[in-house]
Amino acid sequence: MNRLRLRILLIGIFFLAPVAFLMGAGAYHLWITGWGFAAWWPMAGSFLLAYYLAYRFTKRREPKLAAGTGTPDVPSYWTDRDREAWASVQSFSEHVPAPTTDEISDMNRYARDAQALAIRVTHHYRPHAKDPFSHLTLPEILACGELIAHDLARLVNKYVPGSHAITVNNFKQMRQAADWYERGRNAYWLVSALIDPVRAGLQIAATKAGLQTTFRQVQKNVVSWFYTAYLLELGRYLIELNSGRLKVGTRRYLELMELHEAPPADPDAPAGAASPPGARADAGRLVVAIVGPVKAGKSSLVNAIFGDELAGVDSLPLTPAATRYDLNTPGLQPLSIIDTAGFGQYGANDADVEAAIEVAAESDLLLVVVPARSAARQPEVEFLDRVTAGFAARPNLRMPPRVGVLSHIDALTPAMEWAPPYDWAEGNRTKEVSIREALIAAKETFGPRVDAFVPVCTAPGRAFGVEDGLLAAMAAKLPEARGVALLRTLHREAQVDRTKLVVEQAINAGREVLKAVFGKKP
Amino acid sequence: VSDPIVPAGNPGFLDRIKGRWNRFVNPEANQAGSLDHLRKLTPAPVFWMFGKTQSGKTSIIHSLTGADAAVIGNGFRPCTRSSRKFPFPTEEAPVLTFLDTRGLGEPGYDPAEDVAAFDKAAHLMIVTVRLRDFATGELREALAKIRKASRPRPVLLALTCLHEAYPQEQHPQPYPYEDVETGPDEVLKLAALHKQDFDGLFDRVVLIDLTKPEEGYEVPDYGAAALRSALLEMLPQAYRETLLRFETANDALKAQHLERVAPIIAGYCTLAATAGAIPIPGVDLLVLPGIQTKMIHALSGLSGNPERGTRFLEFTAALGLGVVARHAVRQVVKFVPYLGSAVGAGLAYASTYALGRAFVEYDQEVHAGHAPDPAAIKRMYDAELRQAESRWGKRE
Repeated sequence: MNRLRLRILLIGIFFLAPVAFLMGAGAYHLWITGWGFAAWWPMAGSFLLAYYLAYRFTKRREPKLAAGTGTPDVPSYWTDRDREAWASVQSFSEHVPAPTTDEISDMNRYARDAQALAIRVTHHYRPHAKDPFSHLTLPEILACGELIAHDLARLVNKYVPGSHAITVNNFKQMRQAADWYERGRNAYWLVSALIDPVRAGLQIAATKAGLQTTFRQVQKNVVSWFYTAYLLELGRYLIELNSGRLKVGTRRYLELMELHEAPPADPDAPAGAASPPGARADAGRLVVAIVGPVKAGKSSLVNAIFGDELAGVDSLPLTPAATRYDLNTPGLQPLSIIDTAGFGQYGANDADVEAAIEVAAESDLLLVVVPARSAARQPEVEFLDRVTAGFAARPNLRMPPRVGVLSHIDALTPAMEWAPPYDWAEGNRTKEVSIREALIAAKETFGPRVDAFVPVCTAPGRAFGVEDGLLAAMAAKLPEARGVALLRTLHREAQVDRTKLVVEQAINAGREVLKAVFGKKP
Repeated sequence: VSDPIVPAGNPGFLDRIKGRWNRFVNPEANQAGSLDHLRKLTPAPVFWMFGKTQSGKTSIIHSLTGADAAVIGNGFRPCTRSSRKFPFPTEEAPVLTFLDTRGLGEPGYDPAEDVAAFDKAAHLMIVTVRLRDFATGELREALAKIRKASRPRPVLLALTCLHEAYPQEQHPQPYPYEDVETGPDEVLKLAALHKQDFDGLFDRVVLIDLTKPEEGYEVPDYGAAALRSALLEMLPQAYRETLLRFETANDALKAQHLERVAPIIAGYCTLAATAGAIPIPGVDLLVLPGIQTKMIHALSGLSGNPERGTRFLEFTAALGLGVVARHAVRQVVKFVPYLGSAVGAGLAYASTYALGRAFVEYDQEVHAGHAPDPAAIKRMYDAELRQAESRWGKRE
């Protein structure tokens, strides 16, 4: 290693020696010919411009700057509560005074701000907490520290040149070097002043006024940029910590994050294999729940999606409970589609509604099937409100995105006509206008409860709007759905792990007791 | 118009005398009271429409009245907190009244208030359900409560939108669901399922599909005849007659392309018939001119020239049209029990009808810029009176 460094040094010296010689010779020549004074000004101007631009470019202390340098934008899976906490972190990082160059290496300063930020974030999750850490477990805090270190290291590696070789001593030496530079320059001024007091005086004044202030500004900007990045990074993991997502441990957390960012595409599982009801999809599969009133066309929608007769479509409401189907579409993340029993046949409080709410609470994407011809949508609206209320009660999870499916559009005016394709967004045929009006009415009724509506016809042989319309709308919602799935996985695994751990610890403790009593290994 | 002098506080003896006198010299006030009373006496059917939005309630009302969807929509006025009513053709002289339970779609609808308000008023309940809509749990819960509160009121279950069971196909012809259970399997299967769901909650079921012309069906009023006969069979006798008479008058006027005014004339005729049927001589003497005046005002209001009605009334007074003509005869007849009321009712009905028809003629003449010929109007009045009387006789 040292040999390598020596070789690089040698090459560097020999490579730069002519340039250094030319610099010296040029300076000497300028001095001899007396052009030095004239040549100094454009050089000083050039330096000044460089400093000024550096100042301008580093001046903005907005989160954007930090966001572009290692701390990603707000993760898509964050809940509303996380986002509120994040806004608080951002305002903290904007309002905390930037540290001075001396403070940047002062650990107390970091600790003090970290403490303040931690309290701030904790209050979003536990409004009455007195200190930021007492409600957390030790492994969680350690995981948080590990992740911050991991990310900051990445940040520094990426943006501080040569940082992989810098030790803390190097850092201190660099500061000393800066001091030496200052001293050397002062000596230079002294010598120049002896030789040509008037000129030197002019130059000193110009340097002090222009170059030095700008240089200090640039330095300050860089320090404050680094500090903002540090605070945002810290805030981000404090949010992950307080929301309980770090309970799974660093390794599993990073694994799941990686999976979240690059989902597995299309494993060669057989398409459309029906699984027993109640079985949740395996990891890496997103769960899409189809909900809606009885006879709304949910089962025929499943058939249309799979392209063959799967759900045993009959005009009688057959589906007894939820059934799961696995869908593998090239280019799409593998999905599990759960067909629920339609509700409304037995009133608002029937068992079917409860069952559908349960399925919806465990899903990553909701398809709300609404017949286009029906205007009585109170049960569906109520259903969605109940699902929303369920998620509001569990703020560490997120409500899955909702795609509305306007079914039976073939029954819209004129009912006798079915001549697809229909350009319902723009067209002027009566059917197209009817579809458009039905969409507007549905959007008005559901408001923010449903994110987007897609008109479809799922009757066998008359399918329209499923592949191009519905699957596209679902694909657009997949990133959000993945976030929902991630939160659910983190939450569930944390629960499971905790139980498992306590049991293991109890067994270990029991073993120790046995050992103590019998004096030998059991 | 109320009593012009009604002092506040306790009316003294003199004030009461004054009030009586005012009412005597001011027959308008008297008539208003009587008209109200008459409306209560008139056997005008009240239908309680019970179904979700877009389950076909408006199409049924349209099929029974001939009124446009827009007219029906604007005609509805709030009734109770969760319901509204549509008196047809006018609030003053309704022949048919429709009650609509809007609250049905709202969460936790409690029909108690509607039951209290409609229990005495509504004669028949029409429950509309789309053939393919099985989310009827809440509807049935409310219906069961209403049914429990007042069992005797008949309930007609109307299964609508049959075409949704056979998309993009024309209706089977001839109408197969009359009494034998035949027809497309899909329809019968779904209908059977609905009957099972609504078991014990209805007395009769009818399958209909009343579509707008733009839907593209060859028969837009599929099953309307079955619906009508079911309603007629389920209504009490007197109400059935009102409905039939209304239809006759309506049809007669429609045949002369007078759809717009038909229901209004028919409505006032029904009211007049009720007044004529009161077996006390002289009661209708006060009431009938009032009813006929109101009808003329309603008609002239509809044609956009309210003052034309007033001029027409002056015109008829000169000719001796309306009630005055046969007044003497009618009063004598009234002394004969049973027969008296029928003839009195028939005359009151026919004269009101003929007067209405005469006004329409007068209105059209004036509108066309002609001076109405008194002799021609008188001839027309007499002819219409005879025809209306003979129609009435057939119904007896």
